[in-house]
Amino acid sequence: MSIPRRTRALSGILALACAAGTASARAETAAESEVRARSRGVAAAEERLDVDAVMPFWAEDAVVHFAGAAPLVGRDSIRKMYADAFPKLKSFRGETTDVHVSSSGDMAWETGRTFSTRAQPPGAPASSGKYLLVWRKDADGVWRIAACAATANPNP
Amino acid sequence: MKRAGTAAVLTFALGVVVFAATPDGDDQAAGIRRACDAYVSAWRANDRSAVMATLTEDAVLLPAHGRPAVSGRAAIERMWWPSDAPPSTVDAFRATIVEASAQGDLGFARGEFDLSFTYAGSKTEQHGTYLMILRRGPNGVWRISHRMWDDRIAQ
Repeated sequence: MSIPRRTRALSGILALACAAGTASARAETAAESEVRARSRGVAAAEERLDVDAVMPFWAEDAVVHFAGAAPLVGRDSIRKMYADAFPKLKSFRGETTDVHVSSSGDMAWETGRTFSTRAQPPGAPASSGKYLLVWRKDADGVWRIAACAATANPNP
Repeated sequence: MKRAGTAAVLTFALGVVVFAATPDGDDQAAGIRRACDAYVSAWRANDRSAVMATLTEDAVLLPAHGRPAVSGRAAIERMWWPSDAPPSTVDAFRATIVEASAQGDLGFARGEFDLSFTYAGSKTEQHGTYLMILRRGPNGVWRISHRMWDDRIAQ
């Protein structure tokens, strides 16, 4: 219980990563490759705890659900969430579990896990979470996150 | 402990639902709303078969409170209706769809819910948010493939 619930939830939300190591037996479509590339991009930005680098991956009207709070709606709210959370973290890493793109090629979901450690107190234990994302290909042809939900995972 | 665990799991299970009208007449979004409505109605009726029929075969639940993901309809059914525990009953289940959207064979819905259920004579209430992914099958029917939920008030 050394990790406050809100921070754990925030850590989960930050979980957009996309690990290259996600195995898949089926062939990857071009659209899926695009989504995975975007996911790796946001994951890298989150791993650097870089708010400015993270924000372009979010849609203007994106929504975030996390534990113990009303949904965050819109980029400004999401930016504030990152700005509040990043300074409290020592490390953050996301890992994609699965990605699937719609038959129309302009919507996708992603599931994954997150691993984070708080900056304080020294030696704080790591915590993990799980996330569910909705990606949307906007009118400019760029994939952005339209919705995100995150919850805690069992402690190791 | 089993009793508490079972009750909690059922609580998580019910986290969703639907139906706040969306402004457009889009058939896809309407199909999603119908699927969500079926899910809620099935739980309100405490109808096990009807609940399970709203899920895809490979559905994944992503529960709150540090519980692990549950993958596959069979595993989900075992979690919600364990063979060695008495049934829980849903007393009230209210939910809203704040947003529903679909493209091709994929869609999502999100919103809030209020749930009350009874397990072994003890009542439990939950108030939360949910995000669901739905998939349209070859028969045109939308089913839930993923569902994540958590409390909307700090516990």
